[in-house]
Amino acid sequence: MNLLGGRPWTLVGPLSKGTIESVILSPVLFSRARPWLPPLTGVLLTLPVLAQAGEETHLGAWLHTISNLEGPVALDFTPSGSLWVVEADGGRLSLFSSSGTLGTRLESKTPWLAPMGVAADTRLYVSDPARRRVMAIGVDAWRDADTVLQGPEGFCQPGALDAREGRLVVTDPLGGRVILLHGSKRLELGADLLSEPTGACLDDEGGIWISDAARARVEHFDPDGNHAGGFGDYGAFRGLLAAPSGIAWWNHRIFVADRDNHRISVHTEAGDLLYTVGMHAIWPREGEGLLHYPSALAVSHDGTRMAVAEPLDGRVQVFSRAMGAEPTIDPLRRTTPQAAAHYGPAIRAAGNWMLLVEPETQSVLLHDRRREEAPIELTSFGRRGHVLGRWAHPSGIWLDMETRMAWITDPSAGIMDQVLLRIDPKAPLNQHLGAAAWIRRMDLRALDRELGGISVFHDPRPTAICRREDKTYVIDEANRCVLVIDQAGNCIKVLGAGVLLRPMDLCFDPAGTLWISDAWQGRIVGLDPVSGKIRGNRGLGALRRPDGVCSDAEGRLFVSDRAANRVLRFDSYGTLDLSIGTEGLGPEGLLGPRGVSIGQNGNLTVVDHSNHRCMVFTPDGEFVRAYGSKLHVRPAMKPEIYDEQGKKR
Amino acid sequence: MRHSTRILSACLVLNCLWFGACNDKQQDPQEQHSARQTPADEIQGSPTLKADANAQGFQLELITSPHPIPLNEDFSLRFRLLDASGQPLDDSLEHIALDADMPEHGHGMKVAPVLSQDEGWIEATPLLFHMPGIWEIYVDHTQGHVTERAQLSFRVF
Repeated sequence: MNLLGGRPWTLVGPLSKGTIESVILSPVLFSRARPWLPPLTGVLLTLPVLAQAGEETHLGAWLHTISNLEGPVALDFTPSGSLWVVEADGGRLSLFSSSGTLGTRLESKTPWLAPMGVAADTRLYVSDPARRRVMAIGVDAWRDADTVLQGPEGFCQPGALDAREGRLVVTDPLGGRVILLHGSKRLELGADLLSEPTGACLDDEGGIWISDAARARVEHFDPDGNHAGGFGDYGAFRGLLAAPSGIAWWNHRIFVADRDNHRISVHTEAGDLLYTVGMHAIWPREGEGLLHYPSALAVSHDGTRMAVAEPLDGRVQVFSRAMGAEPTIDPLRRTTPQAAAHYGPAIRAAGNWMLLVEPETQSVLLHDRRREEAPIELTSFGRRGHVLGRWAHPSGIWLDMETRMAWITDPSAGIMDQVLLRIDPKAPLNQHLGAAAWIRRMDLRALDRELGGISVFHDPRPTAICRREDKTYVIDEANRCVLVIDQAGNCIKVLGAGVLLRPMDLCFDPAGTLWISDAWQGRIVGLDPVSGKIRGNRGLGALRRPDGVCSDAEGRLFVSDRAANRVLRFDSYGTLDLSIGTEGLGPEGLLGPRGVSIGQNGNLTVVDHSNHRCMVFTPDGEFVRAYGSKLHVRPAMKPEIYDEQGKKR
Repeated sequence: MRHSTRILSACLVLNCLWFGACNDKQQDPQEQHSARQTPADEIQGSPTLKADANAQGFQLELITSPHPIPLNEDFSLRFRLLDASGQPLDDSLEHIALDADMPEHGHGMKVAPVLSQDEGWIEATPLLFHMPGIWEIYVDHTQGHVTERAQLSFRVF
């Protein structure tokens, strides 16, 4: 088995000007049993292509889509044109031929636990953030993997990779740096500059290009690791970037997967925008060139293909070359995306109120739930920025009805904010746009490195939060633990160090056990909040990628499983007694469920993240209602029927 | 009056609007600290505005120049921070930040004021309220790893 393409290695030179992908066909044509159609269509389409040989082309015509993937987060082309895709939720690597046919699939556990990045050079490199290492895998014996980089002292956890001619670049998004390995030489880049490097690529002169999602920037380093410039600023207009997550270099062009703008930006090396590819999908799962949170991309060695990974939709779209010079205007309909009700992933309910993160505007929404049919938005607060009152990436939230306080964490800045909501929950429903008053901000990065008696290696990244008895429990994604913070802002204890791998969310049950979902271990861990000892486990063998967790008054635990598209319920004895939801858009449909929360009436609200909506279920799993984006809500609701007088039946 | 603009009210006015509408007899700690602020009628007649930090870690004294704040014209502020006993806080500028926002519109000012220290007072200039409506001025003070905020609200038209 040849893992680097299944074919002998051939070096393909860069696409010369005027060369065009010879056949650009929709796979739909081949789905019907008409054997005469492919050759005929091929001839018809090839003729005009050949006729126009010599014309300029650009990369950006949709070619085909590889669907039904489990959280594709990274990809890279082999020299022969095959495509490696990392399926993070499935914990595996899949190799697809140039036509999108599945060839090889390397399953998880050996040698990696949670692959996150891939690069195909003379060897295949795979990053495994769960074990904080990068492996080099032989062409014919992938089980004999060499570890080429190991943490945690060297770096926090590896993410995206790129490799070229023996040089390997590794991003460390949680550590805010990038590492370049070349033989025995190791360079650390951008430690004082980068905030959240999520993508990196090498150019043919040895330069390194890095996309920094939190700073909405692309940075360039020369082969010696010196900062050589960069471009980008935050925004939705063309030429601006919202969350540059993936990056690729080909023929002096920089291709950027701008996740939150739902498009690919193509720039010169000086940063000038040449053109964009794709736009926000309108209908659920709409594709064929429409993009939905593109997170990574790769360009084939010969420049004829570009593959774009969309983890939320579980697919990779492949683009080919299109006729014409690089367009100076977007050839598609709309160029400016609009913020939509893209809820989550976090949600917290308390009394009549419900707090939700709105990721595209970096704000937090406060809803009132007194009306049965749908919650009313009372206020939203926060926006993008770094000073008090602004965030780069609001993540963890907590709500206390008694004091009307909200707590919000921002992992990319390492901070936790406390906000007073100046609204009376009993007052008539009304919007209060200026209701938030910031009380204080705690910079967790300024805390002592000896947190609660335990040494930590990395700047804390607070991703989730809950409170109990004047103490705040914060998940620190970087150090894989829970920080316990007192009223004065001091970290008095660290829980779960050495136990947790990928803590996602946390909650207390009525008995006082702190439950933490761990995505990479596929379980919920129960800890004693005083001693830190393990009190129990839930979901081993049943959960694949547990995410949100909450408890009801009876001590039952509800856990969302992002990879399995369902929510599981465990009774107070730990028995799995209910599964809610299946993959889809209907009344029982979930796609990538994240945050979960129990309201005062006992109903369960689930952030149906990839469906851009919230779903409400009774504690026994019966669908109650959905709300959010209408296009995504409608399939879940009963059809509305009106009589001749226009009254709803 | 220049451009027919004037300050109608300061922080307490809006707090009263918010909390008065609440009609909640049980005051929480934040309501108590709001009630301790200088009454609106005193602020109206005085060039010195006062407010407690939202977490009550310090007090803010602030003077606008000119007074009242003009619409769509540069103005400046002089302010100082006091500790709980009313003594001026002796702190460097790097621990103090000032900003202003229109929370109902989700935007701030088009200018970035520069801070300078002068005999215990801090001067911020320029500020510009380019749009009529409710503005909030924020003064943030950082001590160690904790930043606290004091804020004052103005209706400008």
